[in-house]
Amino acid sequence: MPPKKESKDIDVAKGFKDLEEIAAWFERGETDLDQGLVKFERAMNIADALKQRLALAENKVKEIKKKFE
Amino acid sequence: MKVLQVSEFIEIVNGILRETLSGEVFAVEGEVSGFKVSQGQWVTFDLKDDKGLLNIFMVLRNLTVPVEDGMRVRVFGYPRVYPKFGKFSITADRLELAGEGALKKALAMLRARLEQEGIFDPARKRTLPRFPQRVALVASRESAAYGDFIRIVNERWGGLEVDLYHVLVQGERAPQEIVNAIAQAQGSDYDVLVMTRGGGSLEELMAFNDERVVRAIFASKIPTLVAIGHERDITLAEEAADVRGSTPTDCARRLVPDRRDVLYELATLADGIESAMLEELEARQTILERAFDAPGTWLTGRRTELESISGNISSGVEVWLKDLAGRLVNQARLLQSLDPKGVLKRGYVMLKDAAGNSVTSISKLAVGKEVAIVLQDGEAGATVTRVGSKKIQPKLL
Repeated sequence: MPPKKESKDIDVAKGFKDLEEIAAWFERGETDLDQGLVKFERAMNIADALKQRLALAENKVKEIKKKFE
Repeated sequence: MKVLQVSEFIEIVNGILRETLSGEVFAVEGEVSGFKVSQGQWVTFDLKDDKGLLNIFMVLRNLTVPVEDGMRVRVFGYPRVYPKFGKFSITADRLELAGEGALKKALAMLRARLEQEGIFDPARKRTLPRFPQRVALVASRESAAYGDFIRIVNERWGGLEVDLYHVLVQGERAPQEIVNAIAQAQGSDYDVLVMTRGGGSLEELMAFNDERVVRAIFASKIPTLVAIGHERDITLAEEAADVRGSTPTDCARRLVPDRRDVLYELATLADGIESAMLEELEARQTILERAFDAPGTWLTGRRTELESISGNISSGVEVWLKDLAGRLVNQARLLQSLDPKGVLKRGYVMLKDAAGNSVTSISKLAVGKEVAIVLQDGEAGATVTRVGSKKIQPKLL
């Protein structure tokens, strides 16, 4: 998985939507272990990418604010 | 003795009368009786006192005051015998009202008539500009009213351009001069036409009750401000004006605002504008701040949401895995119970033929057939020595 690459381009809204779907998948009690593991890993990757994306955005906001203070 | 023809005699008499008794020398005063206007241009009436009576003839155009029977008037003119009828009369050039009573009565009549025409209609009155710049002043240069007016105007306000139209403010010639002045002022670009004079007797103020003056004021294209006499004197000209001042001083006050009032008003206005501006700015500032903080707030929200979902998934996976494991254990137990080895453990054996298939019926066996006996811990070869279909009787335990 290349999460670094994903973090730059990830669509935040879609990322959240995917995460919600994965959470729902687990809550339904599906039994496919392999699929579950793939989904979990994907979820962690998305979450990580989103986290980084948000952190970047926060920094950018701070930076912009500073410029105008 | 000289004999004259009638008309010759009348001519001589008229000549003597005219020379010796012209209007410049005397006026005749008496009470009006039998007042009559004929053909819209001739006025005739009798002028009388306790002991005498005179016929008066007049051209209507020369009559500048309203007259009715019972009034005391003064007639200026010349006496004459009308040749055709031999009738003695006075041809009047001019007529003046005599005495306060007649003046008041005439005034009341004129007032009623002008009112009927709508000359005093409040609905027709215009408002004066708050800050006039050019003013036409109809007044007497020598009057105290003029001095007072100018002084008060200058005290209150500066930079006003006042053009004086000097007029006589009383006497026979006053009304015409005033009318001319008002007419002349119409030609210029004035903001207000002011007319004023100080106090006086009713007779002295009569020029401002003159119908011609009242009509000129009413017709003025320039808004008018008129103040005549004292507070209690109200002339018709004042009533016809757009704005009435009670005195010349009051007139000045009505014309221009007091600069101190205006300065105070300006200061208050400036304060008001400033505080309104500040309020507006503050409101905008708040909006800006909120807009400024919005991205940060949004991001914090997203971060919280992400943590929540990530947590959900992590704990969800654990629960899910435990659940899966639990199901596995149950499955294993079930399978264990189905394991044939478990049966062998309990002392049963299993037969297999040479091909390794399990033998479950006697029909598959024959004497001499090789079979394998499977026990829990191994197999043993055996040969069938006997085949019978005897049923096994279950032992009752």
